[in-house]
Amino acid sequence: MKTKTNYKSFAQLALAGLVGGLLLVACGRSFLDTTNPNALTTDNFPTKLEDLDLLVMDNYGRLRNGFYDAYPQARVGYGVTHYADQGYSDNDFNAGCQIAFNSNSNDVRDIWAKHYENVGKANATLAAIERYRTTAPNLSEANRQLLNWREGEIRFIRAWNYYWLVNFFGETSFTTADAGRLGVPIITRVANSLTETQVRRATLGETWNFITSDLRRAETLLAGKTWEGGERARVGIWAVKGFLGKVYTYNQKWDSAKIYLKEVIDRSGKRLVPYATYRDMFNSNNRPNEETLFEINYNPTPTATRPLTVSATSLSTNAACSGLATIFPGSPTRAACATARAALPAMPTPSGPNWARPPTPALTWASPAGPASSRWWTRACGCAACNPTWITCSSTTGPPWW
Amino acid sequence: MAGSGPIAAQSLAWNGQPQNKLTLREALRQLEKQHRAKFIYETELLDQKIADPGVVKSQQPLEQKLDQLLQPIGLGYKPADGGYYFIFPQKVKQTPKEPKATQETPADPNLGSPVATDPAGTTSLGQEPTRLLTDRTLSGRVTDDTRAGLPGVSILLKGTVRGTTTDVDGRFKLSIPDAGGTLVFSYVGYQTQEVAVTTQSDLNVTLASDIKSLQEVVVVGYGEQKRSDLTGSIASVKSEDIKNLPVRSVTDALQGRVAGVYVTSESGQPGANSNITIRGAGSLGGVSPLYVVDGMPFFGTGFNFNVQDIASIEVIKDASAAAIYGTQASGGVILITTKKGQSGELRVGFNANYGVRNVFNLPEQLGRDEYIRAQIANGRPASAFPNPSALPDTRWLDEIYTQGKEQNYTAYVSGGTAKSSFYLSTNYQRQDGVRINNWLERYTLRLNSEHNLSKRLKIGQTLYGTFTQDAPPIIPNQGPVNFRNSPLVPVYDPTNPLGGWGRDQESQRGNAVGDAYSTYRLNGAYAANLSAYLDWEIIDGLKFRTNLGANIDHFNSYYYEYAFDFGQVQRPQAQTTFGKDFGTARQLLANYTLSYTKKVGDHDFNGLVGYEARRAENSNIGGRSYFALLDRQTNFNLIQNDNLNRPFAGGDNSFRLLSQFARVNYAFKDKYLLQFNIRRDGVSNIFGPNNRFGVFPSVSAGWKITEEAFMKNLEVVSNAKLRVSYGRLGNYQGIGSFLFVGDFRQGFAADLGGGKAGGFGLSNKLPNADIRWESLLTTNVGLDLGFFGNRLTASIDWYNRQTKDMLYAVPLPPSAGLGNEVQYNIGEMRNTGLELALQYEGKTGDFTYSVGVNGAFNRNELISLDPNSTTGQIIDGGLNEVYGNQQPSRSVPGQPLGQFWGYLVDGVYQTADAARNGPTLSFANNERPAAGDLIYRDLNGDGTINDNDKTFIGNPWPRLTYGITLNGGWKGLDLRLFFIGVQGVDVYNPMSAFEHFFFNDYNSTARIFETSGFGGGPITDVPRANIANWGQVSSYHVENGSFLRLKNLQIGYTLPASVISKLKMTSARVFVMTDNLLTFTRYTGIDPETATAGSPRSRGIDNANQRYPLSRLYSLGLNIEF
Repeated sequence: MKTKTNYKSFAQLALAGLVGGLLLVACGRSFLDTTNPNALTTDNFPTKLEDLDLLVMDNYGRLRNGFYDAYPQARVGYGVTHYADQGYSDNDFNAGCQIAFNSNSNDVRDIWAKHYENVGKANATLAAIERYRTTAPNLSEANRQLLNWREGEIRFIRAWNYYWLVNFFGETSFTTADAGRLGVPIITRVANSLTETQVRRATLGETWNFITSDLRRAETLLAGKTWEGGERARVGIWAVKGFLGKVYTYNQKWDSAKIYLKEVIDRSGKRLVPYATYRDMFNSNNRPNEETLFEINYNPTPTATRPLTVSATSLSTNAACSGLATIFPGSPTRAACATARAALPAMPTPSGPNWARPPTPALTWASPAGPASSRWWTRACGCAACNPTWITCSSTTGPPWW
Repeated sequence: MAGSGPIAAQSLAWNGQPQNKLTLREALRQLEKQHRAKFIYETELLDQKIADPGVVKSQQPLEQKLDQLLQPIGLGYKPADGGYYFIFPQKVKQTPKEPKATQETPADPNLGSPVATDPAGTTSLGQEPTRLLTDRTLSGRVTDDTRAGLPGVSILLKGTVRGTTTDVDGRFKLSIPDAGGTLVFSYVGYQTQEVAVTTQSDLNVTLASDIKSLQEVVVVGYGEQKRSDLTGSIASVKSEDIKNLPVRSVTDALQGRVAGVYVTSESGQPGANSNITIRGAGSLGGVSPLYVVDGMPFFGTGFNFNVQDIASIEVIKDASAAAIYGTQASGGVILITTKKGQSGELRVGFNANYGVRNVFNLPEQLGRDEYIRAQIANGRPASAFPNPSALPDTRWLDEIYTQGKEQNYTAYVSGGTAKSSFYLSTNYQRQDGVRINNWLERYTLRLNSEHNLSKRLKIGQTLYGTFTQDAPPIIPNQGPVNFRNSPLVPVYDPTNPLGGWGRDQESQRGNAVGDAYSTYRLNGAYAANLSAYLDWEIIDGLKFRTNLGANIDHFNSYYYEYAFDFGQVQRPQAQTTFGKDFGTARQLLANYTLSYTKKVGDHDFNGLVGYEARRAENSNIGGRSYFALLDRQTNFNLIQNDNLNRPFAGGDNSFRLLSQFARVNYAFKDKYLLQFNIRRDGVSNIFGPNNRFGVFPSVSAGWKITEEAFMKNLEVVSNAKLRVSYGRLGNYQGIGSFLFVGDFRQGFAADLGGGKAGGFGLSNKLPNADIRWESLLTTNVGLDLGFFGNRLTASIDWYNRQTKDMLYAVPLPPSAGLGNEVQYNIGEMRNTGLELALQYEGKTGDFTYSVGVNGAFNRNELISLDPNSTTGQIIDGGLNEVYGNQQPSRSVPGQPLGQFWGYLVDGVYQTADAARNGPTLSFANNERPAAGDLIYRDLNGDGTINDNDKTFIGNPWPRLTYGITLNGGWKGLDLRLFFIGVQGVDVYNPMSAFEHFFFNDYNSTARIFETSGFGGGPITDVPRANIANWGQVSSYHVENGSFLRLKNLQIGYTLPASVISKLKMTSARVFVMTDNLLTFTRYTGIDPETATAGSPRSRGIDNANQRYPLSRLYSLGLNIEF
């Protein structure tokens, strides 16, 4: 009898267990549909005008990524003069001194890769603008106008990147006679597959035509637009027209060049600045001024200095060592990484004009052998040695879910 | 036992087969089918016994039938777990009506079978006339190793036919000659034991279970199986083998125990984890096994797991049994069963262990006088050391390393009734590292309980909680075995206001002891692992089981960097930082299985279907700040300059797994076995939308050869079974999350005139919607053999494991603007190998011994990375500062992973003439070598040594890995020796560079004096001390890393019963133990065991100066039980 009672009450318990479990499990397929908590995915971003502005902002910021970045690119472009006094003395620097770059040069490779990275972001931004324009309900006229301006800005930026690419890597300078010679691959949309990434090198003629057409489109989109106040560094109509004039000049299309340049001179309201201003204007001061049509904006006095960095990587290393991450596949367990974490020096801080260099952790980087950054990675791989796939040695972004 | 109903008397003697009778054996066979029961008995017991078919066919419950069938013929039975029934000879129930003669069971001439006695001592054995004169009565109890009474154990006075069997509680009484004699205790499933009896009248005997017994039940995925029915490759490790071992984790406990399980330790740090590779690297990044504790996947079986709670470990190596774990099983499955309570008396026990640790074989860095001599020989002017004897003489490694301590205490209580049982244990462990300022401690609590609510309903629960806290070692850039120091710098300088450390004014070497104390670190972690399960036998043979589990983790870590002044290296107060990190994780799991067992004639089926879901989330956050006002400050608001931003960062993750699985077992005549497993898995954040679910099937078959008639007469061979399996497992380890979807991340910031603002940009990632699991196709052929009544057992396994759809990062053209690479499932790799395990258990007089040997050969081959590319290779591995950024490991199709790649060396130029004609050295300004330099081989003969002359110079994968266990026992003494070994392995030794020359401002060792031409010395076979010899990857630095190590030695003494009974104990053992006592090797680095470790693509690179060294342990231990 007793057994029977137990049976019944615990059959209820069994049921409770089942229900509890099912609640936990939820239902089938949607259970597996999760989104990445550490990134905005293409499913949920960009969906608002503000989101688009964030993308556009990134494009402006990226103008420093490629040519006007920190030292390596500038070293190739300007030669060693600007940087000779800063005491760089690695292989690429020496190659620069001897004008002896080759395809193995990291600096040269970076110029190619970073400009195309910028092009890729511009393509993604243009696609996002177009998608928003066609799918957003009840788009007001003002917003439609805003989208046009944004598209114009991005087209200018894309043309700008191609301009530098073709100047660096085109087979020769462009004249009509050289139209058939090799330019650079023209990439207008973000690839969706490995096959789509295989793009042939366009001819010089095609490349310059593409640059010109982007700028002409920007000219239409930004017609009459100039920016003021908190937006004064955006691409405006005079930047487009000025750049078009420059492009035509490069292409030896003197008539067109003359039309645009004259219009800029006559109608933009810009004029040359005195030497006192000019002398200082490339040190991030006096910007923008009555002479400049377009500036890559550096902030000489960053609002936030970064005395130390806490990076995704450094933190995730801690997380890895926590024993928490261990419930996730492929991550090292706590103790395994504890050693590595303890051995891991502080992460090198991004350098460049916009970053205050951190006080040198003398202890950490006292060793004279090799550039500090590479040794840091060696160490990071040491951590990854617990499970090497977890932190990719070549990645600065840390484990996949960061 | 219920009273029996009226029964037809059975004739005890069998005179021809009556038509209406069954043999008892056949009757039991039918009952097995009807009731899905399993009977375990000595076959002789049933000889010439018959049964009433009416009883067999009746509709009564099984136990009633057994009562009717067995009791009248002097047999008893005892139910056990899993539908098993032990059948054993028993006294006939005494009823007044029955004549006395029936009390005696018929003697079986083969067994010399027992004469039944009454445990109460009321029956007479008076038929033996001599007894009355010289015999006395001996009574006692026979128990198993859990101290539960063993019924039906046959006890025989050696050399006679006199004997008895134990009753239900394991008690017995037996009359023996006054002079004593030797009693033989035997019982199916247990090791036969002989006990000499002299004058005592009480005798308690514990029979050790025969671990090689074919009736042994092993845990398999979502169930159990008899070892004899296994068709896959499953190895077991018993708690007895690993009990008391000073292991940090389950992984460590497996080292050297199982053929094909290769455990390497890279670090001797307290609590550090070891690498485990089962049957070679299964993927480019290697694969780790799945750990399942009491049926629940368990993550973090590292230091936080109390090894002393383990009852048994099963390691599934092939695809057959592992396929039920599908995509989680790529690295093998390790099934851990924790201890449970047994019905019977309460058992209270205590284990304690205290030991000291010391580092061994560290390089001896130059002390003051040698250092000065070597510096001068190296070209420093003697005037740099004006008054040597006034300088300090600091041996930094002696200052950094100290004697470590290890303490480990466990207390447990277990027990239960027929209805409920429990096991409760708690453990405290503390390890003080051999490195200064490094310790770790851990508290654990476990409660396992199980309750039979009714005959068909059982619930149970496990709870495991831990708290760990540690101060990790603070290790400088140059590693734990730091060469960058000067013996001429004192450790302490009382005049130094910042920390009081000795200052190195000559260069930026710092102060190694000061370094070790330069940061205060404290990590803490709490974890709780809970599970509850319910078993419901719906009808006979149909079982439903649900198991719900939760793991909850929390961690926190804190650091504070002290200000210090080491001379040229300083950290002023303004640059001290502190930071905190917090994180939590939670994992929930539920599984449901339905199993059914059915036997029809010679066909034995059982099947299982199941459904499982798992979800995990974690979240963490951390912050940093400068300008603390207090030492070890934790509050971020109490800082000097609040305008500075205090950065913080954090992240979350989630993981979900949804699965269905099934298994079917089929056996024909218990001779031919067939098993089929299948699992379907979906992994939320890893499998792409085009490949949401993977299906992983396996099939395996077994043939019990010894069951065949033609094998029956072979007395030597007691067991032979052939096993074959083939299956596909999946692997998601090492595959990044959300590779199938593009995303946007924080991008560049810009100031468009209104202040700086951040942007967002598309990630550099080409989404691969096809991303999916890697497939591991494994074939396994195995043979299990037993000889001499399974005293000698052997297992041989051959396998071929093919990894397909292996993830490889295909390079992307940079013009795509999407980064450097995209992951595709296109690579292929193969591991083939042979495994052998032997076990022998023997006994000579009082001396018992066992020998266990296991060995494994594995060959790894990377077949292809990208079939569309001929140039694909992966470069890995890091070397020390002397080597710059060179990476010595190459993973190239056609070769095993991570081969060393460098120059071949043909010795050392002995004369200047020979050197002058040598090829120029591209890495030394194209200069020619000099006498005493390495003879680099100019492979392409172009007169210069450059990258084109590099080739494969070493294989870091061992040809053979093995383990040897030797146990011996003599009376109360026991000796356990455990060896591990690796044979045929190459190690790259970059640390020898430090030992042979002064790199920059580093110290060196006395070996510098052996280098060619050092200080004007002779040309030797050790190359000159320069970077062209010591800082280039060459075969000169590749060494044979083979070794044999006495990993653990234990000598114990079990106190005799006479002593412990006075102390009211039931058992007590004291032991001494040492770890890493002896190593046999030719390797010249610190430690070949850590040297051969590493990740799959960069293993065997012994950056020993970067490794926390292993240490040697001496400890004292105590196991007592009440």
